[in-house]
Amino acid sequence: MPMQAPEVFDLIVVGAGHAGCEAALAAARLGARVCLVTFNLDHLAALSCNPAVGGLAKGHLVREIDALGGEMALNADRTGIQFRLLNQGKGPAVWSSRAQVDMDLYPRRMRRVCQEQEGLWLLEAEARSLMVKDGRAAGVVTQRGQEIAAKAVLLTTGTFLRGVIHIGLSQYQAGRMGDPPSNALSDQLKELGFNLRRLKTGTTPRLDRRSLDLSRLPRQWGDAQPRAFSFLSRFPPQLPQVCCWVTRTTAATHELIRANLDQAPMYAGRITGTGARYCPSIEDKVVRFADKESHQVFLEPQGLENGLIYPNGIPTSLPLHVQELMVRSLPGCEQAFIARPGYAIEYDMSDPQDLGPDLMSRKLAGLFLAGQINGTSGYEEAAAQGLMAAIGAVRWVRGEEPLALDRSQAYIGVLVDDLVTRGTLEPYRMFTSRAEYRLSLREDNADLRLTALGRELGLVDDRRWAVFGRKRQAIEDAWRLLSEVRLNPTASLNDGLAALGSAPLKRPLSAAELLRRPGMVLKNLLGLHPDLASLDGLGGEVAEQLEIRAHYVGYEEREREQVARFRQREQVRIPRDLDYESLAGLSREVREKLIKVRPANLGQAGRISGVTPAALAVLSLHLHRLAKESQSVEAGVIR
Amino acid sequence: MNRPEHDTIAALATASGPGGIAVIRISGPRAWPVGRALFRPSHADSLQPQPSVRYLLHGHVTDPESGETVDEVLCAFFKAPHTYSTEDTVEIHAHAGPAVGQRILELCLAQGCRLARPGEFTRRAYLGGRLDLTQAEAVAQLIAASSRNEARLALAGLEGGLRDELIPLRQALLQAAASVEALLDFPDEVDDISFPELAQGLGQAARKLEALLSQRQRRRVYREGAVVVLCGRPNVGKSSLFNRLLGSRRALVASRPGTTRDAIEEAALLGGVVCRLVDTAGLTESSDEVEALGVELARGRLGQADLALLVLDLSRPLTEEDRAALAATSGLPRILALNKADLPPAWQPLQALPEQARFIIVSAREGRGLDELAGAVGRAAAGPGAEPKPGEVVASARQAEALGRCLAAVRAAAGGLAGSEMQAEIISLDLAEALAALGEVDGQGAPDQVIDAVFENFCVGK
Repeated sequence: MPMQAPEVFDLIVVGAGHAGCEAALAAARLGARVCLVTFNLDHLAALSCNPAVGGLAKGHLVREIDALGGEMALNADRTGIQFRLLNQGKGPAVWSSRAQVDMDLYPRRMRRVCQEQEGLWLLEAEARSLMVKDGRAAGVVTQRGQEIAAKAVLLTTGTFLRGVIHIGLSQYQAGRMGDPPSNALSDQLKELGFNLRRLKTGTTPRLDRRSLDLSRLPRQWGDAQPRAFSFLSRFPPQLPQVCCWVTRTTAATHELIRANLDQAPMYAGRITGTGARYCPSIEDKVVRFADKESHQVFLEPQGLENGLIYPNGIPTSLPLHVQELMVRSLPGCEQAFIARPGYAIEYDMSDPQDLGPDLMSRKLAGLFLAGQINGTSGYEEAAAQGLMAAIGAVRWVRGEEPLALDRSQAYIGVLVDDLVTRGTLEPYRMFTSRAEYRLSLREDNADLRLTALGRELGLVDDRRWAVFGRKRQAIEDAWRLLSEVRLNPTASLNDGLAALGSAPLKRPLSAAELLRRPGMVLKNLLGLHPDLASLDGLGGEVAEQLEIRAHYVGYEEREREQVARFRQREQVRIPRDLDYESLAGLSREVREKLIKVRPANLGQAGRISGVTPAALAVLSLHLHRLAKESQSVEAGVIR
Repeated sequence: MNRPEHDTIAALATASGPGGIAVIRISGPRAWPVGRALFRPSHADSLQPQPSVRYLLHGHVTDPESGETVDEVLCAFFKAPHTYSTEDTVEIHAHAGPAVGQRILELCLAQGCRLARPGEFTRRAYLGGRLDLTQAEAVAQLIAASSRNEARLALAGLEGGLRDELIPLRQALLQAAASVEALLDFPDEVDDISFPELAQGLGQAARKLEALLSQRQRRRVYREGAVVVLCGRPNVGKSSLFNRLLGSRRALVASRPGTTRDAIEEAALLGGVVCRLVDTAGLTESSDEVEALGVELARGRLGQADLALLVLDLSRPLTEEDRAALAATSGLPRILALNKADLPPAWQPLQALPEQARFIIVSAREGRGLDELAGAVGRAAAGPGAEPKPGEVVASARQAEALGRCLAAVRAAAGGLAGSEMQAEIISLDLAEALAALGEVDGQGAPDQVIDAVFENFCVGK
């Protein structure tokens, strides 16, 4: 039967980047009827910067998106051309997956998935303005005057809002290189009272691969046994795997940059937007860390058939002729031909402190925001927000309670809470150090943390649920067995341990305790006790889960206690309409901050910067009193 | 609605008892109306249209009901938030002693004020954000300070002395945390971390914490008073010595819960140190006091004493009980008071007593040697080391508890760094706990601090 578009969509998603695609798919999978509006249908899920997905802490986000039934992980697994697990020298909590993906194939597959998704309509248009009815977002109007009605609207505008590209001292308006900016929408948001600010990001020049002498450079390959992002993917990867090359900046590079700083728009005062400290331009690196003689540059292929190389590590907005000299000062790049210049782009963000925990704006009901418009950078941060905003929008349209992940559940929870509670002054990127409960929030257990919730929400299909259920059962059964099997310090057992290079037992241990020993893996235990032989057939994921659990067992306990304390405050709800003006004992500054953020609970209030322990004590006393009063009122009714 | 911090409180801000002046402080949203209702200025225009802020105005307090004049006073109006409590405040400086002060206070209460609870003005200053936690605690101590040394320590706390000590400590921990986090979040770009240096930095932090904690151990007596336990067999004159020592030296201090019920305890200012004199005679009905002493030892009271004051009777030969008491206290800091010097001596102290024993010959009946004894007890109870220097900082019990947790976490992190299998994510957990504990002491600390430190110190980002 042909798919019929509704008169009124449940949700319009403006922008089809990583946030927009993830959001549109999630909302449609939740049963909503969704219209995804984008300037150019050929640029869906474009990789505007790095042709890579994941990375430290970002890999965690991708795995969590997957555990909740999202698309990013599957898409990266299918189109990845190099997979690496980062931080393998450190503990499993900070292992993070990163994949280089084919920048032509990644968007192509995402577009196919969107096109095949039931309930999702793709529309090529500029969403010029929002329709506002009865104080709520009611749809969008396109540049052709077409009115598209919807019950909710999600803006994922990326760098398009009032985008301005800088190359040297020249500048022009653009949403990104090759796409127009979105200016009318920005004007309207300002009129509606949104707090817009300027941010800046940058990208590197792209080099013609044929102009480089790569044969002289050290190579960097992916892992011999690549790991997939998705809990559903079965590896080895489908695409051929490729290597990167490593080069470095030289004294000549640094000298050249210093000599031309006056032509860098950031240093010439042309850019007002704030850039990210963790993603400095090569100009910034040379200026701020003047005593560092050289910086690494990774030369990454953009794809299997894409003739361009992405030199990772030298984002720049120097004039084109300086970029050329600069690139040519890198070993192996002496003849480099710049196929596309590096540039800086300035764009509008909207203060995320104006959002509720479900990412709905307090400035306009029914309007949700996700991705760079909220001040983040990164495909993964965007996709994670897209997913949560879609959940938020669908629940709002259906009149259900908002849902937020908390900081002890997921990196996604940390991300959203950081944004709506603390806001951000620079493009926000996820780090593992942002997560207080890092030892429990791991890539490997993202499914154990989130898939049941995804199922409850309706995002996890039967296949994923079945796969997950089998894995969880296998882990629980095996862990129980490991905890129950006692190993006694017999001669034969100690011989077995000696053969493994492990110290002999002095007292009886459970198998789980033995597994805790450094270097011990599940496989080693199988021959030590007849009952353990049954663990032989376990899949690699399950075995790894058991090993990690054994490794962190005491520390996770410590974190659980911290989480319990954290939850106490998190559970003290603050009424949405609390009259902060009438609360005596708060300074004006604190009062204004509380009114701006409108924290949902006492824990969130405490994380607002500038809210002192004293102010929190005032708030806590007041809430306590309110709770008492409402109790006595209820009691009165019963009587 | 009557919110917790929304009522207006009043109290006598000066100590009760006879004195030259009584200050009544009124704080809260209705402080000014209350002040205006009670105060009749000599110059009628000094309250019109609004009272002049921070001027001492001359006038009289009158009872608004009867019109009767209560006292000639000076009165000052202060405007929020620039007041001690951060609220509107009125202070009335009345002439005379307790009766007048009490009467004015009653008039305030009649105007709808609530009697302030102990420390409530300071509590409001803290809630109003004027004082941080360490400062608020210091105020409480300053108010309760019964000796000059104690006041000096409290004053250092009020001036942010402890907070200042914690700044370099936090800096060192942040530095270490930033290095570890950079290692975890930017492994490719951070190659210049020196682990020995990090471990060394943590070692220094640990020593600083140890110093703060041991300073507390040494100075605790100046803040909380030294516990001096009087002991000795019956009839050596313990009780009369106890009362004589207290005499004019009796200090006004709050009784500590749980101690007064099971022991006779009084505080006295001895040699510049607040001493809490505990008379073991009040502890037991047992006629065998030496046995009681043993019981006490077992109970740990003597073990907790900063000083044992063993009383012996110089006019009668030493008994078995005396010798047992000497033995029981031999391991403790102690002073021997040889009482009844007004009678002919029955034994020679230099020969009869152990070599290092410090003794002072006194007569409780005649008051002889008491000043000397008081000075010696104070000095001995305070322990070795000079009096606190101006600005010296000592942590309170609550702060010490948190500092102790901080120290444990710092040691764990340092151990982790030195270990053969360095696990950065676990060291990070320890450092986070250390920073959190430090934050409990002074209420400082924000989640972004570590990340900011990473960016300040390392060139990260591809």
